[in-house]
Amino acid sequence: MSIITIRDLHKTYNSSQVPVYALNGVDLTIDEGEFTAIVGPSGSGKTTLLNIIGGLDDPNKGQVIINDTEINQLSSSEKINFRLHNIGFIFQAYNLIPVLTARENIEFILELQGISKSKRRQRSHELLEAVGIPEKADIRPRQLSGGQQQRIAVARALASRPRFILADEPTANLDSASADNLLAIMEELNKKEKTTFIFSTHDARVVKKARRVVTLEDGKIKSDEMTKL
Amino acid sequence: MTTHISSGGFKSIVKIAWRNLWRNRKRTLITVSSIFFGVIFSALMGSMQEGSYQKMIENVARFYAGHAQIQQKDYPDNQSINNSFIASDSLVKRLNNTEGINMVVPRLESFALASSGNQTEGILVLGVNPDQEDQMTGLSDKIVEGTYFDGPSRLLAGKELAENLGISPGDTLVMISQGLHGVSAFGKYPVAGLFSHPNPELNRQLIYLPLDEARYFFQASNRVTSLALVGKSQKSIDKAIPEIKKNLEQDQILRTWQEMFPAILQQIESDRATALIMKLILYLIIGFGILGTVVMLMAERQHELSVMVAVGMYRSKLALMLLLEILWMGVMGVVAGFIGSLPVIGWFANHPVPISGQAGEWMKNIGFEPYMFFAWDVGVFLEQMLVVFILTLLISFYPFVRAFKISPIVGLRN
Repeated sequence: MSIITIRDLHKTYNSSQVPVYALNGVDLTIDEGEFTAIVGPSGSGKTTLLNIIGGLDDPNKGQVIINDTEINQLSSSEKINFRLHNIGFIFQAYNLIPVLTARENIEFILELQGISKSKRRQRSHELLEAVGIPEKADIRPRQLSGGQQQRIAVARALASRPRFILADEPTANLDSASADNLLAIMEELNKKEKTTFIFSTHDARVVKKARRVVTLEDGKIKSDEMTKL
Repeated sequence: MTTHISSGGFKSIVKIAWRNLWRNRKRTLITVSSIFFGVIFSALMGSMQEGSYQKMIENVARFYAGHAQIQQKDYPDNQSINNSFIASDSLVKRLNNTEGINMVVPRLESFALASSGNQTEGILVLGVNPDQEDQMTGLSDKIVEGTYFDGPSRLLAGKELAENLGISPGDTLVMISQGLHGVSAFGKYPVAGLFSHPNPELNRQLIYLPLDEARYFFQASNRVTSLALVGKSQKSIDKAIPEIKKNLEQDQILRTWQEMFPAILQQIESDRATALIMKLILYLIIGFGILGTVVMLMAERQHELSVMVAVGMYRSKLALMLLLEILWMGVMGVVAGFIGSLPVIGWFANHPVPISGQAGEWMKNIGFEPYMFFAWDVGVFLEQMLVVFILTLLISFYPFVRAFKISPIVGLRN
C-alpha cells in the first residue's frame, strides 16, 4: 500500500538570477514499510526531494500526496502539525536540542503532541533500549559522541510512531563503526515497528542495507531498483 | 491521517526557555546586570529628583506659608488688608479637630513703608503668634542677632533689610501704612532681633510683628489675612481638603501651596521634563543593551529554532519560549535592581549629599539648602521597575515577531 505519491515534481532555485533545476519532473511512489535509499551525486536533488516530502520546502510544480493529504496545499501551521504527527526527521548534524537530556529530547515530540508523562516515559525507555544507550538517558547531547547523538536523533524521530522517517545523510558525520551500528538499529526498527524509512545518502554501506535504491541525477530519477525482498 | 492541532508542550517550553538562559551564563548575567544597574540608576535619579522637590515644597510650606491656607475669597486677586477676615474661634477649633491638620496658624499680612534715619524701604509686615510661628517655622532658630520676640511691641527684621535701613537690635523703626478701610496706620517699634531666612526675598523685605500688635497697627481687630494650615505632610493635607472645605464660610477659600506658589510648581514641572530626557537616554542605553543580546541570541539560534519548527513545534510556542527567556531576564534584573536600590537609596535618604563650592553658594543665595536630598518613596522604585520591565517587554517583541517568520528550510540550510 503506497504511503507517499509524488507526481511530476519540479523545484527551481534562482541563485543569482541563474536558475538551478534541483528537481525536474520526479515521479515516485513509496510503499508502507519500505527502507529506501535515495542516492546520487551532490546537487542531484536528494535533499530537496526529502525537504519537499517533509513539507519543509515547496515545489514549483507537482504534487506530494501522503495518503490522502496533498502536503504542499497545507498552510504553514497545518504543515507543522502534519509533520508533528506523521513524519520523523533525522538530520545529518543530529540537531538535538542542546539544553535537553537524551530522554527529554526523545520525549519532546511526544510532549508537543500532548502525550501523558507516564506514556512518554515508557516510550522513551523503550527507544533508549532499542538504540542501545539506556544509560545515557540523563545526559545532555554535548556529552555524547556523534554516534550516540545520532542514535538519540533516531529515537526522537521514532518516538511518536510516525508514518515515515526522512533521514538526510544520517551517517555522513559518523565513523564507520558508528554508522554500521546506526544502520543496524534503523533496519531493526524498520522491521520491528514497521516504520517506513527514506534516506538520502552517499554512503555505500547505507545503500547496501537499503531494500530499494532510487538514483537521482540532475533532478531526475535515473534508476529505481529493488535490491532485497 | 492525523491532523488534529496539538496543544501540549508547555512544560517543555518553560523548561527549554529556563535552561537556555543559562547556556551562555556570562551573557545572561551581563544582560541582567545592565537591567539591574538601569533600575538602580533610574531609581536613584528619580529619588534625587523627588527628594529635591519635597525639600523645595517643605521649605515653602513648612518654613513659610504652610501646606495650605484659608483666605478671604478676594484676597488672592487683591492682597489688601481690606480682604482680611475674622477667624472665629469655632472655625479654628473645627480646623484643629480635622484629621491631617497638625496646626492652624493665624497671620495678618500687609505692606508698609519702614524708615530709620534717612533710609526708607517698602516692607512686608507679617503679624504672627510668636509661639505658634516658632513651632511651625522654627523662626527663633533663624535669629542671627538680638533675641526672639522679647516684648509685646517689638519686631523682628530680615538681616538684609536691617542692613539696608541701617538698623540693629535695640534701634527703633518707624512704619507707615494704610490700615483696614483706609485708616492711617503708623507706629514706632523697637527691633528685638534680626533673622536670616533661607529665602533671600524674605530677608530683604520681611518684618515680623506679634499678631496683636499688627492688628493694632492696621486697625484690624480680630482679623487675619490667612490661616496657615500645617499637616504631617503635604499628602495628609491633600487628603483633608474635602473636610476642610466643609468647614469654611461662604466668603472663605482654601488655597494649596500649588495655588499660592504656581512658579514653584512650574519649576518642578519643567525640571521633571528635563529629568525625563535624562531618564529616556538612560532607558535607551539599557534598551539597546538588552536588544543587542536578543539580536545575537536570535542569530546564534536560527538553526536550532528552525529544527524545532521542522520537527513539529508551532511558531507560536517558539515565540512564547523566546518571550519567556527575555521576560525572565527582565524580571531577574528588575527584582535584583529593586532589592539593590533599597539600601543605596535608603542610605542617601538619610545622608543628603552636601554641595560645596560655587554651586553650594548659589543654592544658598536662592534660598535652598546646599544639599542633594533623596526621597524614600516606594512610588519611585515601583515606577522605575515598571518602566524597565515594560522596556524589556517591548524588546521581547523582536524575538516574538521573528519567531513567526522562522523558515525551517532557510534555518536548516544555514
